[in-house]
Amino acid sequence: MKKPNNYDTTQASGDFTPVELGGHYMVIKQVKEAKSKTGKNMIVVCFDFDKNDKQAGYFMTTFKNDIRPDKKWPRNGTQYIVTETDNGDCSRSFKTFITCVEKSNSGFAVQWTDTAAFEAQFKNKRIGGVFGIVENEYQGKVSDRHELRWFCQLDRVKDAVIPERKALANTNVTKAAPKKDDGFMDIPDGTDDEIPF
Amino acid sequence: MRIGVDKNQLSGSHATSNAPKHRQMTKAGASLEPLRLPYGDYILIDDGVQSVLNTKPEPRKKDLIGHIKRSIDTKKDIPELWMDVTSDHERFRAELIKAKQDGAEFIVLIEDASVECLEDVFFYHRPEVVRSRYVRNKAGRLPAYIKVEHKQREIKGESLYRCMQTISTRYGVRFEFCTRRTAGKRIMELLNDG
Repeated sequence: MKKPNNYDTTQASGDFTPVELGGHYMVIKQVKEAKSKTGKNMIVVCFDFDKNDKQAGYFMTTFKNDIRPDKKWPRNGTQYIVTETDNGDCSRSFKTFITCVEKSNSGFAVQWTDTAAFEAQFKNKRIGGVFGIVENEYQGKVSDRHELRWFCQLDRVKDAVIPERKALANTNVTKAAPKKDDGFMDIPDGTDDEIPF
Repeated sequence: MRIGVDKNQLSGSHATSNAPKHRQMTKAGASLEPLRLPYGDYILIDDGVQSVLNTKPEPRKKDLIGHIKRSIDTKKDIPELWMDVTSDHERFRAELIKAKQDGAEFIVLIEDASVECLEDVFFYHRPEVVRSRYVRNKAGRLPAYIKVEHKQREIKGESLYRCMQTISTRYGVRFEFCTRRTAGKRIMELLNDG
């Protein structure tokens, strides 16, 4: 049999090593300005574990081993940070991120310039991160994922404690009832809202 | 170690920009011999290439076809590679096809300190910039040189990365990275390797 392409680099099932929980030394690969689905300003931060971390280059290895043609930087190594709150003030998570970068890289101060220069200034800057377990729902199944819970300063990585498990929020959303062919809608039982007629 | 260098690398402005690299190779004991290469910039003069040189001391490009085992094409930085995969795509592609048909290993060596491996290209970004340069005034009037502005297009690392991946799979090209300071040494290592 002919050896298939990328045989040596393809990961076998069961070989997966999850991200270790707790503090990690990280390096920023990219920061991009973007808009959230709801139209809010946000930044997308791609990071990897730094050379001095216990899992150095973890996301780069995952990315290299990904054989999909349209591969993207791993989800676990990407963080989406909304920059402003609903009333237009600076969001707390954005301020935390900027503060952590500034305090983790001596002499670095964020320059509020045009998009390209703003994005470029973060490249290869060091930062700390704390990973914890986050419950996730996918196709009706709930699973645990090791995700970045928050950024921190580099000097706090060593003493970082593993955060408490973040459970899925209980959603009490009543789904819209499907429309029937007769033009009437089924009202779910136990609806307390007043019927609008 | 005898290295065949494409004649274009030793002429005009290329000669100046490549001089440090060539000096480095000569210092390390390599002898550089100018040749007309069918593809790439540097090859190792082994027995196969030597047999051609024995019969034809000044071989033409096509004479060397079928005798090259490995060829190194150097790019001075990422923007040069970007140009090769975009505006200069046809010429670059023709070179890759020639190397593939010839059964030679084609290595593209990028001398750019900002990238260390292929995956680093994914995060490369150069914004669009307007630059100006002085060109000779074709109207023949004074001033002899006039300032001309030109736009340097944006380079998106993600797009370039995908292009490189396609090139790598389709034509069996290997991408290697080094800095300008280590380029000479790296060329020798790559030619010696295997």
